Amino acid sequence: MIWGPIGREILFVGYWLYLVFVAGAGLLAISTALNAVSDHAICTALFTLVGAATVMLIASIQTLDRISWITWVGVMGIMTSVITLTIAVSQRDRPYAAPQTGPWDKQLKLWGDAPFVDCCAAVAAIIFSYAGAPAFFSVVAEMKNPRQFTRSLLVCQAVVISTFTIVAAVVYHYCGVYLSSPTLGSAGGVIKKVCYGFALPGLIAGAVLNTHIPAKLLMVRFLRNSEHLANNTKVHYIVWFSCIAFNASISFIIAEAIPVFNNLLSVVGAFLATPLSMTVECLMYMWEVRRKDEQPTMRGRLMYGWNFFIFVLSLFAIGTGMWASAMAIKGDIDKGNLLKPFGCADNSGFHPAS
Amino acid sequence: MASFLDVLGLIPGVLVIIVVGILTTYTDYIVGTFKLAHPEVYTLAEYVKRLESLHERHAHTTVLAS
Repeated sequence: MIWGPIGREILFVGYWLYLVFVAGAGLLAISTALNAVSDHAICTALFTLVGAATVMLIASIQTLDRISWITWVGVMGIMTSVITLTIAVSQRDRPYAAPQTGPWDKQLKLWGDAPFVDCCAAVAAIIFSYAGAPAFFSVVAEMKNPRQFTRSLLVCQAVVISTFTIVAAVVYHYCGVYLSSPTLGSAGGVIKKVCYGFALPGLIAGAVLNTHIPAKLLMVRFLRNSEHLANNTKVHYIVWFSCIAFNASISFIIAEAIPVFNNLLSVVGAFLATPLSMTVECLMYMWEVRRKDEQPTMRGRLMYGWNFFIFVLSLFAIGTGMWASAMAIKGDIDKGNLLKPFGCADNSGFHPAS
Repeated sequence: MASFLDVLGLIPGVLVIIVVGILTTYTDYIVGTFKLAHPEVYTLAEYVKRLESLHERHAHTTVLAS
């Protein structure tokens, strides 16, 4: 078995890169929110920089339990934001992006008729937005009462799944094809500002976690077998702040410099997030069963089969997701649909004037 | 999320959102319960690294037992 050392390096680099990309996307989302609330007051690249600096400051607080307050503020903000959006679109005569006079049709589809490649991209994006299993090592490690893990997980996921489902279905029902891009702007006008205003702390909290965690991965790696890892020495602080600054800078640079960042993010979702949060977990289950080498029961066989099934499904999702995002990047390049590196253009959707 | 429903259609879209949610809840559960049983493992990468030594030890005890 040479899986061990090599697999460990692959997983380490893969997980680090995945978090750095998600943090980069978070910084762009912060710039979108700042653009929306301020009517694009300054250059977007500067807003992203402001976001990166804020995130860097908060993420440098040393232990996860001391930054947990910001995740609470963030969750409340995001929930308020999507609930506001959901209610607002239901109260409007027509969605903001629809023609405001004359006949209109929101073209609701019970069954989609989009090309297969677009469906693959949508499914991959849904998987990406749920991806997070590797973080549960830290979640359990930080729990006051780890024995309540299963219950907490079920409550958390039930809230997440029902919010996703209800918000998506209601907003789609009222807007149809006239969703704004990004969706949080779909109610337009003042409500768009309100939605982004409430979402802002949540976007910051997400980027903070996705900067804090990979920086800690690096620090533990550098200071392993060193007395400086667990002690508050000068070296410890220097290494920690360097790791935070390095992570925040890389996230900022890739998000701003790569002209096809959004579609490259989808590649990361399919190629890194999906295997790290589905495939490896099923392998983990199957390896553990083999390692224990107990007499297989009927239930054991069924569970093994269930894990093998998710394993195969995840491989399929990785393949189709990568194919779809590669096609999207090719489309961007062919059409010249490229973002200007460190550009200033508004990324919060169109304005009433246009 | 709503934009996915425009691509997939309301019925398949809602189904995918729920099914993927359940599948990832299960993989989260695998990680969480593993961590409960093995608090000394801190990351997925460490788990994979450890796997080797665990298998070696296992092979060793099997040889002894036979």
